[in-house]
Amino acid sequence: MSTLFATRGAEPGDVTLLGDATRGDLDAFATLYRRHQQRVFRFARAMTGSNDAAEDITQEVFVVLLTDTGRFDPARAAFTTYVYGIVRNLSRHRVRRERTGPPVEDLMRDGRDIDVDEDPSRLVEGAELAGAVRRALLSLPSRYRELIVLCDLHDLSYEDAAAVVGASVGAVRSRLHKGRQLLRLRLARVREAHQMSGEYRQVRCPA
Amino acid sequence: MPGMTPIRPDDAHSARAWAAFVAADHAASAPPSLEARVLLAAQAALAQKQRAEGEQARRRWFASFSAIAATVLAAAAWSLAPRSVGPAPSPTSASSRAVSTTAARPDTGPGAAVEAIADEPAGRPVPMTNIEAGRVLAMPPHALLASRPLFHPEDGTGPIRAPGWLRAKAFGAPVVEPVAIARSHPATPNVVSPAPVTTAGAPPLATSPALAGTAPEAWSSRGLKPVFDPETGDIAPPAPVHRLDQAMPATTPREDPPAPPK
Repeated sequence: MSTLFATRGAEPGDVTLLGDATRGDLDAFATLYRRHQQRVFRFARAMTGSNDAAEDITQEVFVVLLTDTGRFDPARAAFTTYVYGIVRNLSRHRVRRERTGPPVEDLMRDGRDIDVDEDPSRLVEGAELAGAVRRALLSLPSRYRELIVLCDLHDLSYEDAAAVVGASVGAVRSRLHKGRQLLRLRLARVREAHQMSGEYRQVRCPA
Repeated sequence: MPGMTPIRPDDAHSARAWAAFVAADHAASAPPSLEARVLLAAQAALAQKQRAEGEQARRRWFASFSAIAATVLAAAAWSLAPRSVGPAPSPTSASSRAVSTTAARPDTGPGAAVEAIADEPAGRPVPMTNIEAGRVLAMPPHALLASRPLFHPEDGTGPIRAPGWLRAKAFGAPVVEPVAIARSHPATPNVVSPAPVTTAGAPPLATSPALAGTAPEAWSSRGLKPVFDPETGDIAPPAPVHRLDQAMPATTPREDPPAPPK
């Protein structure tokens, strides 16, 4: 299992913090939140394609952690795996409930402040490229998307990813391979469309 | 391998796109206002959970207290109940009445119990539960046993047999009246049908005082086939022998009417 969130030095472990938070210690809960909120938010954002939905899911995940403590078994999986499993289930439920296309436009704002010293053209180009990849990623089926996000963005091992999605390691490898192929194809299509639109723009607006 | 980008290195555009996407994703974070929102939601969820747990504990305590109080009340009613059965069979006093009925007291005479039962008002009695019926069967009241003996008073081992005799035939059997055979042929003697034969092994149906007053259609000539009783030591009666010379002659054939003239 992953030891990514193991106790470091004098810092209390996740299970200890969770127990304290369940008994009403809000400081322990705040520590637990600050330790895991970024990964929870990023995973929910990559799965839903919406910042607002990611915020809602982040809040719901921590409330579930606080109220349903009896469902977590440290002997079965690590705390991180448990948290990722909750995020995955809530994201799938949210996407299934809304049944709408992911609003990719609000993801162009990546949540970081704009550096005024940076070249604006590079910023725009980077945002466009990131938006193209995000669009291609969101167009994938969720069973491929979640594994690409977990293994390639969150650096989870195959075993941990298999524990999160509830599949075998072989299935994770197979789905990941197919998902990467699909993502490559979609990115190639996006690039072709981008080149075509660039040529069209050059024809319509000659310098 | 985990962490490897899915973009081929030779595809510079895709590699740059993937790198930009990863950088943007790693830089993404929840807004700072979300922490206060999550803390407020957690406080509310904790309060609601504690309320639910308190309510559940209160319900459990109330159920336990109710069970104990009901037990104490039942015991008090049993101890304060009179010796005899109460006159009014109300549902609230059914349990205490059953307890007082089933409880065998040594000083309770048979007459008191019979009197108590006779004092019960007419109407539908309160049914006993299985536990009460088990107590009654395990400890039967002596008064009822004395008034309605179930076992033989001398040896007490076997049940008292009901008075009466076993009937040898069904009540719905057809009635056959024995008739005398008229002499219709000169060669055959004038044989009169004998009275219904009663063999030694047959049960004394005709002489039974219990069945003496029964309807006449209950009797027939089927008494020739009595029920074999092995206790009497007699041999089963032989089957009747039918002889040709004692058989009834066949009726004379009717003469055909003369054919009409053609």
